Amino acid sequence: MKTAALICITLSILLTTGCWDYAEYEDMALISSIGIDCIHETNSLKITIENSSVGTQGNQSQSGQAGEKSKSSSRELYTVQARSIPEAINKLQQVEERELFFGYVQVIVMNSEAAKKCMKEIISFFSYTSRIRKSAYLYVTPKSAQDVLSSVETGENFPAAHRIVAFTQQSARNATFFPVTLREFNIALTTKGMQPVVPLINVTSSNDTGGTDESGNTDAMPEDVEDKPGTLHISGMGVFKGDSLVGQLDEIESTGLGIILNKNISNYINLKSEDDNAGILKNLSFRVRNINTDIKTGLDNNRVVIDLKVDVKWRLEQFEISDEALSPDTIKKLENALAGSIKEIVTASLEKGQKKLGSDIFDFGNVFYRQHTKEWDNSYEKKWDALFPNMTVNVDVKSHMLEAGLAIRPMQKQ
Amino acid sequence: MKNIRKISYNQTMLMVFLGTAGNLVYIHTEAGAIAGRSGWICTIVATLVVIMLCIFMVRVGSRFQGKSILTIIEDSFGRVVSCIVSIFYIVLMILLSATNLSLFAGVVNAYILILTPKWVPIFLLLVVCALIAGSGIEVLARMSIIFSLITIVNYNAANILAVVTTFDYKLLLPQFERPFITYIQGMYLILSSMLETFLFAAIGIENMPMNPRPYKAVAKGLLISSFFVVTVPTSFIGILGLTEATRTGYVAFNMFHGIQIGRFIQGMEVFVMITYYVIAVAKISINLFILKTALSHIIGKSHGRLAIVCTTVLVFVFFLKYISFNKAYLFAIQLAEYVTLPFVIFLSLIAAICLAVGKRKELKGKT
Repeated sequence: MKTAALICITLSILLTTGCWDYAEYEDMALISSIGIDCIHETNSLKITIENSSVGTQGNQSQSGQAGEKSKSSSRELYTVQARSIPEAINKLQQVEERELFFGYVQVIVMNSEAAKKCMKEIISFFSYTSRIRKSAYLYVTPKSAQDVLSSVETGENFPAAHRIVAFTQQSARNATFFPVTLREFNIALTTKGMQPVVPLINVTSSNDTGGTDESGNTDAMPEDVEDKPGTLHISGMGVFKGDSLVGQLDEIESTGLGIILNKNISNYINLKSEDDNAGILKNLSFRVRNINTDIKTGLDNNRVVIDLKVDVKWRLEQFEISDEALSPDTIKKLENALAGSIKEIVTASLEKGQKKLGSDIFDFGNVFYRQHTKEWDNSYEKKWDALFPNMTVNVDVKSHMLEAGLAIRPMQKQ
Repeated sequence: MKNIRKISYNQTMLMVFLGTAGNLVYIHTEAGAIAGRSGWICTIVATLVVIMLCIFMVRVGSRFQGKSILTIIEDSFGRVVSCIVSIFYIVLMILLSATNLSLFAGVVNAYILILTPKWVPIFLLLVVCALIAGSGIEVLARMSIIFSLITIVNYNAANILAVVTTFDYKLLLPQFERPFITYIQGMYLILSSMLETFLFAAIGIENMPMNPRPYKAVAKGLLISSFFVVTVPTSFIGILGLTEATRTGYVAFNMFHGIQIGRFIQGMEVFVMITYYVIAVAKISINLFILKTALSHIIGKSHGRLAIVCTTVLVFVFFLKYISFNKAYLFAIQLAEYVTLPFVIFLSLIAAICLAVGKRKELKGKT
């Protein structure tokens, strides 16, 4: 047995010095973002990929071919039209001598046309492939995904993926959107009583796609994309119904959605009340510290009633009052004022999602399913879409002031 | 009566744990698809049934100390019957091992060695397993301690990290929302799969310690596996949602592949890969040991090396036949439900008859 073991170990050492998957880091093109544009006329996809490994590797081997212009840049962008994403990847590999490596994809941007018409195909690909991590962030753009990825800030040349991820990490302070990963999108898409949402990304000061073919010619070779000056802007959420984009929420409505879904929010809220005689509510600013929302569902004569209880804790950031100190009465007024403001934000979000778009992005269906499983299974699951827009939603907001920094009195001349 | 105590109480327990975990790492996906979020109840009930069956088997073994089920059958019914049972054992274990290897190869091929032919890592794994199994149950038992430690510590560390950062308890609700029959179906599936432990207990009983009673070690090993397989899929559902958690085999890989903690921590599937590898090595080593024992029973105990070489080659050949992950997955489920379960029932019946025959002979001897 010892001899056999020795032979096996020796053979293993000799035969496993390398493997079929062996690749040097320098031989890999690290793709950090993917842009997907749907070309409606030809029913084809335009795929843009961003290779962010250029700066680290010098890219000296490339000359004369696509990518040469990117030597001074920290990235390369390629785009190609194809009938499917795998076909596009095949074509893109034809102009990239290094192996396209998708393990570091952080951002996937789709244009609204793709989110409306091709989402089934897109999600199907990303669900089956093991090459792309489910932790990649999804974005929808009303413009072109290629424009978003090709934009660069003046004087900077950071890869778009890095900038978008940096934005994403500040989402709680911004509160006009919240990040959604592929994993979270899949959960919302496949769980009863949930509908997906995806943040909206836009680019300003960039010309519309120019220089690239939009003819729908899926036989054309991939081409490189010029960097364009532009400022990325992420705010608002795209609303889906099933696997199709049906509309979007603006900044305020997205904040309301974040409040209902218990997302991490710590942004500023400004209040300017006109009907305040005492002048207490003049030029007030709060910073949200914590929001906790509790959703309860019930049946009243076979009508579904939703009770939303929102508990907000906040810090006073700016106020102009003549009182000597923040008295309990004043604090109560401030709390009521903020509660009213939060209620307006939540109601605006409900109005849009429920009445106008008719998509249960608030997960009310899922809460009802969890709290009234039998009723859901027996009848409400089938008619939920019809009932949802006219459902009664009671919003009750309680607000609690935590502090005003360490200030006790306003700034006054002594 | 001779009492050959080759392996300790704890080693028995951990071998049972690894042997059972080797099947449950993929079968819980199917149980979850059938019984939904409450698939855990199927695992608990199935564990209790398997514990009762194993207690019975170990009791039979205690009566004929130092003998495996094959030797017991030989003593009661003669060599021909015992050889027929051995052949059944060999065929079943070869198929089970081959499907297990195909499933593991699928994971390696999907995430780690995408371009490497599947047979390469599996061939090397089989060589390691054959060396372990060929060295005897003592080596296998010692390895099981290390393997269990790696499995439990490594897997739970990664799982806890994932649960703390990403888990959503709402995805686990509601519980027991599916019809009662689905839980029976899920339990049947898990039970069929867990019964491989019974097959190991029936062969390994000749080497198990008799004091403290071996059934306790088997029951504890099954309970640890059960705990593992109740808590881990629950965390999968809480992180991925029911559909995603029951859509893929070896869900942990899919789960860790999609988790990023903070800005830099990702790629935790490497931890899972280590665990899966260790479980696969342990499971296949145990299966090869059973195969070696069954074949040695036919060709003679002095031909142990020949037995291990022949069975390893056969396992590899059948692995090449069922090399597709999807085909192997479906085949493994069918095998558990339609072959393993009837074979275990048959073995239990024959063991009960052996017990009765033994008692009668004992009574005759006394009178």
